[in-house]
Amino acid sequence: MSDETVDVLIIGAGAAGAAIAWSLAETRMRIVCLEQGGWMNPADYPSNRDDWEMQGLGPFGFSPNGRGRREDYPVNDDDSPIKISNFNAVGGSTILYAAHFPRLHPSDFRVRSLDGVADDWPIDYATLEPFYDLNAEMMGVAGLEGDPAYPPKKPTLPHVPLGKLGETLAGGFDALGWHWWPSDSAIATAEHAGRAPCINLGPCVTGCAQGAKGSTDVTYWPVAVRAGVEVRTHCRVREISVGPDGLVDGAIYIDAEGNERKQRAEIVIVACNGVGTPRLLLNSASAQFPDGLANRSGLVGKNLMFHPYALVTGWFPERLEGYKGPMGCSLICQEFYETDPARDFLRGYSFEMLRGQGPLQTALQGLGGKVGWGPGHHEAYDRIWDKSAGMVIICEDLPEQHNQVSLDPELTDADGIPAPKIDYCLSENSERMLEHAVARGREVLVASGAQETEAISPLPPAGWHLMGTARMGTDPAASVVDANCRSHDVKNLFIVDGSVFVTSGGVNPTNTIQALALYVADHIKQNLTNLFD
Amino acid sequence: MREADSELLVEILDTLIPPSEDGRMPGAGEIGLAAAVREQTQASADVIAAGLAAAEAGGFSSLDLAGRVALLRELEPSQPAFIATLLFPTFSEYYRHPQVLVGLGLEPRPPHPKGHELEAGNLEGLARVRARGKLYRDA
Ligand SMILES: Cc1cc2nc3c(=O)[nH]c(=O)nc-3n(C[C@H](O)[C@H](O)[C@H](O)COP(=O)(O)OP(=O)(O)OC[C@H]3O[C@@H](n4cnc5c(N)ncnc54)[C@H](O)[C@@H]3O)c2cc1C
Repeated sequence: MSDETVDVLIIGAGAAGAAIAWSLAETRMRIVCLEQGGWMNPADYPSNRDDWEMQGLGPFGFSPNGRGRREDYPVNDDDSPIKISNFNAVGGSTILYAAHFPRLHPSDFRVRSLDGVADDWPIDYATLEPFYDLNAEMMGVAGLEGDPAYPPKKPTLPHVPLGKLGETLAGGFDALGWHWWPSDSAIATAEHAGRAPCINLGPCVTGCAQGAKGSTDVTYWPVAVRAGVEVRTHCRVREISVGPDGLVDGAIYIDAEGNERKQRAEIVIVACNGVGTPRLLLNSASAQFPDGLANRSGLVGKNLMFHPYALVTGWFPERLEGYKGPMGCSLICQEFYETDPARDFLRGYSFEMLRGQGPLQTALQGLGGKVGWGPGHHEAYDRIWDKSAGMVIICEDLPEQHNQVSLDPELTDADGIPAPKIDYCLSENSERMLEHAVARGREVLVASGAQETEAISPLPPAGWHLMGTARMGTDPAASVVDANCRSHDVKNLFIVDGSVFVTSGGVNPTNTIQALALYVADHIKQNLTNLFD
Repeated sequence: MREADSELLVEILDTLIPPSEDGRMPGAGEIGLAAAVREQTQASADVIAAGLAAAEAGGFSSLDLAGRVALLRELEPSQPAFIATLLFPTFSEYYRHPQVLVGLGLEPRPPHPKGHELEAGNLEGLARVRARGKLYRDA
């Protein structure tokens, strides 16, 4: 390991860090990525084990606070109804993600112009389109061409099977005359770029033992590493350092042996996600940047957006085989996505179908009231086992400055680095949207044949889409990075994760996060000779 | 834990999840979950010990299933945490036991490496969706 100055230092090896590393690798620049986690071994994933459902409640849980792996950092989310979910490893949160892979709509980039709220993005759908296409190829996106909710796009692989459960819900959407479409999913439904095809294991969200799910440790990273990018694992960055010229000159990190080191670099790219990135920038305060690095606007950490989620579950009279198949991906409904002035909220939401649950999750959910102990136990369990179908609702979250990531005054990670604190509340617009969506969700479940429905709104663990905390924009007073995701304040500092989102749209963000990373890489490559002029 | 307490715990588990009448599903005690349940409840050993003592004092072992259920319900006000502490580990051990999985119509195996077959599904409804034309806004 050498501490010579490298051309590019990427911090964070998740969805965005991987995409930008791969794209920049062709320049033959010296590129190092520092990642606080390690490489995952698919043989260790829960779906190889008899207790696979329990593992999802422990070491493969969504919350860094509950999981307690050394590479995790704690997050104080006591003052938020929505709790942070993430994963820290090579691959980042894509290790756990469901791989639902929709794009934003063209209207999502023009929210102020079209609907008079929030802000427009400084780029548009057409700008990102070629990078969405490139990302689809690299991540292996399954889907079906022709969805009228989107401009034309071509998935690379056949869509994820609907199965009996998907067909049942599709019947409900058909009965109501609503939009639905097989989801775009970053899941290799056929062999793709050396990845084995999906065999419908079910629990994608505890890591894919088959390697079919497009987590970036099996998509971008192997190619980037072969092309010469160095990934240094178990290296946690404490601070990005600034030279006397006001440019960043590298990062100070704690290595795998617990030693503090400095990696010098000409360009620093931060890809630590919508919570990890503002945390790192705020932890990098200096004489030149007393309020945090790249924070002359005061907006680092502000405008945190999740997608407020609700979960609507229906109970059906017959078995649905819901424990088979990618759990988060089958079909999407965007009937209520675009703003409709007749509704009492602006913007909109998507429904995404979930599969059912395994036997243990069914029992534990039953403990909440549907399944008791004693002689009636088996009859009660049989009434719900494999008879539920769920849908999540993903609402657009509008940016509000008081929703924010700051540094917790007391909480630190295992290396003593201040941890992030979340302050967040739902807006009235979100509450009205959730109410509308839950009612429509129940309606479609009943139309599909559900005899009973249940809703959780908002869904507490749904802090998995982290956006807005270092927003893009053309005005340095009103944004943190410019239209190329370069800091307004520091010419050689780029940010490429969900932090830069201006608005959130009503779909999962990772496809857009990666398309943005590829777009930024392209900009850097096109302008290498005059990047700092 | 005393030998007698171990036997009593087995009987209690068979009361929480008794065998099904059709013989398809085993009782939670009879498939040997007591040791795992004990291990998972170690942090609450006092609660379990007090609950077992109360059950023993009520003559639990000499009762039939209906009597056992009635006694456990009777104990709930004085031993409020006893059953609650037992339920999570009992359910979580039971619903991954091979005999139970077979009873539910499943193969007793983890999802990987065999996976599952799944039909692509009927996409006929999409003709209607397509016919509606463009649903997104130009921007
Ligand atoms: C359970 C779950 C389900 C999800 N499902 C979906 C889905 O279906 N579709 C979808 O689009 N999105 C989904 N997501 C969200 C998706 O995973 C994220 O949007 C995506 O991974 C974000 O990419 P990123 O590169 O910004 O951050 P991440 O992928 O989170 O990567 C950030 C990386 O930075 C590292 N890091 C952070 N701080 C430091 C530091 N100081 N030093 C060194 N390294 C650091 C972290 O260890 C991590 O590896 C899901 C997430 C979860 C948790």
